[in-house]
Amino acid sequence: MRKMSGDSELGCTEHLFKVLVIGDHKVGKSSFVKRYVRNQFYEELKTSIGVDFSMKVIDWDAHTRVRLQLWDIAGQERVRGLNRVYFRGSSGAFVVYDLTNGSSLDGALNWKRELDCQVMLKNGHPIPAVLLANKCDETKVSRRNASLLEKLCQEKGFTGCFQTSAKENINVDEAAKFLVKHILQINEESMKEEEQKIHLKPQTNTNSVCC
Amino acid sequence: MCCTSQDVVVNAESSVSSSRVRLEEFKSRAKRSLTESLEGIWKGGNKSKSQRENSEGESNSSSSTTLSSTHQETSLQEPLCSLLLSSPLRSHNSTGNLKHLEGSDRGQEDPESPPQGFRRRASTISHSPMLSSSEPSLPPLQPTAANKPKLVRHYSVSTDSPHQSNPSSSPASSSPVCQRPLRPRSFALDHSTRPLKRSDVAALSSPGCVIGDDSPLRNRRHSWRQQIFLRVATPQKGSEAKESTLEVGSRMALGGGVGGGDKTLGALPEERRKRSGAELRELWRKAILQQILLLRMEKENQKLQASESDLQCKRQKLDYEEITPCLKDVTLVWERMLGTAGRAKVRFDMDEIHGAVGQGVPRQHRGEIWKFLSEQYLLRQEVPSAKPPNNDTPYKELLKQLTSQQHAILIDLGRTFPTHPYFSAQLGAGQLSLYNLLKAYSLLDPEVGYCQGLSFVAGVLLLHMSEEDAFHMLKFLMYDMGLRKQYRPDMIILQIQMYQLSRLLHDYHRELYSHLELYEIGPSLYAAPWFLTAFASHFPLGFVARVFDMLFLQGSEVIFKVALSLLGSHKPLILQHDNLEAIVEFIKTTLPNLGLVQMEKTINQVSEMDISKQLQAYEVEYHVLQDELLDGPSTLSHSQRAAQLEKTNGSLRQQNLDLLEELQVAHAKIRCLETRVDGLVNRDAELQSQVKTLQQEQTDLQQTVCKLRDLLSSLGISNPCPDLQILTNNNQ
Repeated sequence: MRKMSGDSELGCTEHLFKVLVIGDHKVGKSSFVKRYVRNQFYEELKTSIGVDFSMKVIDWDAHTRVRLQLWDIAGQERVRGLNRVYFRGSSGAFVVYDLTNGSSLDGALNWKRELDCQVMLKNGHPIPAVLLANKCDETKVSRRNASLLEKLCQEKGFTGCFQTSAKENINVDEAAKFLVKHILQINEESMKEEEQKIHLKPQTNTNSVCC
Repeated sequence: MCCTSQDVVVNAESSVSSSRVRLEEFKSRAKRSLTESLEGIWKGGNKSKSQRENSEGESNSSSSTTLSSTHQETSLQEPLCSLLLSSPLRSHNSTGNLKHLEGSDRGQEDPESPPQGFRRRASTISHSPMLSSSEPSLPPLQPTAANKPKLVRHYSVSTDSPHQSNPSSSPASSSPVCQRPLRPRSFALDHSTRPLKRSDVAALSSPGCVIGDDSPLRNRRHSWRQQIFLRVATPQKGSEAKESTLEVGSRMALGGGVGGGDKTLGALPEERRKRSGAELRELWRKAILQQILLLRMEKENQKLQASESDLQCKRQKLDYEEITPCLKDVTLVWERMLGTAGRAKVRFDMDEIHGAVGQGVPRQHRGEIWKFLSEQYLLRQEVPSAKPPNNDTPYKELLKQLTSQQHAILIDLGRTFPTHPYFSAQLGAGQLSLYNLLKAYSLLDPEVGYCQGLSFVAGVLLLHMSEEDAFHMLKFLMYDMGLRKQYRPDMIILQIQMYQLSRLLHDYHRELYSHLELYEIGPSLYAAPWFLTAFASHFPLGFVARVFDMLFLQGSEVIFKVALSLLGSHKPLILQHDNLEAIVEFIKTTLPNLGLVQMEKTINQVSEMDISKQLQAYEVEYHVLQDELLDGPSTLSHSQRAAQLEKTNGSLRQQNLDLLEELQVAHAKIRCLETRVDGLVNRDAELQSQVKTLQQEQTDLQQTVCKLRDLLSSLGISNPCPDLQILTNNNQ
């Protein structure tokens, strides 16, 4: 596990979070990442084999800088076992499915289950995961189905759900912001938790504290 | 009935170029006959619809009775019934032999449709995306402090971590409040407490889920999918007619991608409340359009076949930069070897071949040279290859069959060499050949089927030779050269390969190894595609071609050698980077494009390396380590341990099978040698008996001579000349 946060020279906090991007193949994982990181979209992307990384640096607020290490993991069934090792140490996940492909939603739920089995927060809770209904430029979800989606997403333990389009750049930043916010919250909680513990044992906490 | 032929014609014309007069003729004829027949079918009501779903034979007959008898009837009625099943779907049925369907028609379409073709096809109605996109579906909810969980640290731990206090608690088993602390609303997490209806789930993902679109309808659609899937997965007993209907039907499913048949559907104004005539009409309309497209594609097919040997195509395929430019005299050497009469039976000098490969392979002969190398390899095999496919079905026959891997293959078509002109054209010659090749292979080798990565290997082959040759070479690489193992569903071999590569780095480039270890970069982060595509996915084609030259000459070890040599020769550059992202980024993207000189150097190193012993040793090591790990920590829970044991059991079983295979090969070898020994013994006995008879003859003759001599002396003749005469007379 790499250093997750630390004080930069400006006295601001810098966080490094590993975030998984998972889902069946061809649902648009790589496109989502490319759009988010480089704000570009390619019609013809090579199929991902193994895992690809990208890094996104976000100046969250005046005091916080977040580095998101996005792990874009290939979706084909049999490569999955191989990629489980990559789940380790992740702080959050985007679980992507393709609105135009029904089975990919089932796939996304499977991915979520697998994610929860492989990795969890220190306290045993699942890590925050956001469900992305991608390719929403191609089809539309009615209000009724949107609420169904929301319900499903609650039932399956997702932190949230967004209809996105990497192609048309819809909701990409919003979804990412949402996830980062939750990761930061959880982070803060755990900081406080640690502080409390440390206060119990009379010691001072020197670990990264927001200025 | 609102579905007039006029309607369809107008819509169809928007997607199909009007210049194709003959096609138009076909189209309107098909449309007329179909729309007329639709009415009759719908009047039969939904009952007959479901029957059609279940029994193709029935629907076949029903459509044949309703179709007006144009001369096209035979060609139309088959696909139509299957279209009902297949047109709204994306996959799970086979496209049959798609050979040589050219993509040139794309040029005449609406410029916006081609890139979307594949994805669009599934949607039945087009809408403006405004509504859904403008409202984020789930407003972030502020957590209340009261039910916030006690978090210790902000990052996650994996389940196998010893810190974990409650390893067996699955998310579902703990209380909802505890599970979803960030959400003030209370709800059950357990799947069983408030399960969503299956139809709801389907509706969420279905393209046509608009207001008023009922979920039962989705259900029904889903059952079509399953049905077709089942049919593809277990093809029905060789009834030709059924197969062909499916084939044609799915061809049209593909065709929908080309023509963007959805546009017409989008123009449909009516609001559909129930699954009724409107829905069916929709499908029929799609069917008609796809039929039209099919006809067009078939025409293109013929055209393509006519120009198959077109030189331009070859030029396009071979449009890459050689990294080892082949000199004229080397080319002559190759041409001499390739031109040898009865080449497949002649053993050439291996040193000469090695030398020639080392000096370069001329691009224009490369495909032929690969075939030549494979012939030479097989000639030197004492016994037939380690594990020949039991399936000897010829390529052309395989193309007629259906594959369960269709979906996976289709998905990767547009994502294999997407920037190469030969493969980039959607449903162009390249993609169709690739589809055929991968489909045929998946049928030949059901265990491997299709695995991501294979498409690149197949693609490289297709750039250098005809489809059928490429099929045989793929078979050769997979079975004889040992690429096949790494694609097996469990992918354990790939893991072993990663271990082997790590160990090689450790032994040969310690500094680099430590650097990578420091940043926790295992080879699977960068080298998985190297192995699964034989470097084809990330490296320039000139380099890939050289790798393949070596691969055909030396087998799958070459991948290790190239990997090792690449990493080794770029060591200083890799050491300059000092974080995970930068290093992996460098290895994955910068390194492949570093220039010809580096590449050539790498290849030259490869031909001199020999690492087979190390590889073998490391593989054994891997298994030993695995066993040790299993015996080691007893901190695991029973279930985990059981799971692990099961896994080990599985891999041991696989290992056993592999060994069994090897044993069989060895047995075959022994048998072969034994028969040879038998032959030799027999021959020895034969020769000995021959010697005996000759000796016998000799003694006989000597006796005769003696007798004659006695006779002569008894007759008192001492003149030698008559002597001889008598002798010769006697002999005669």
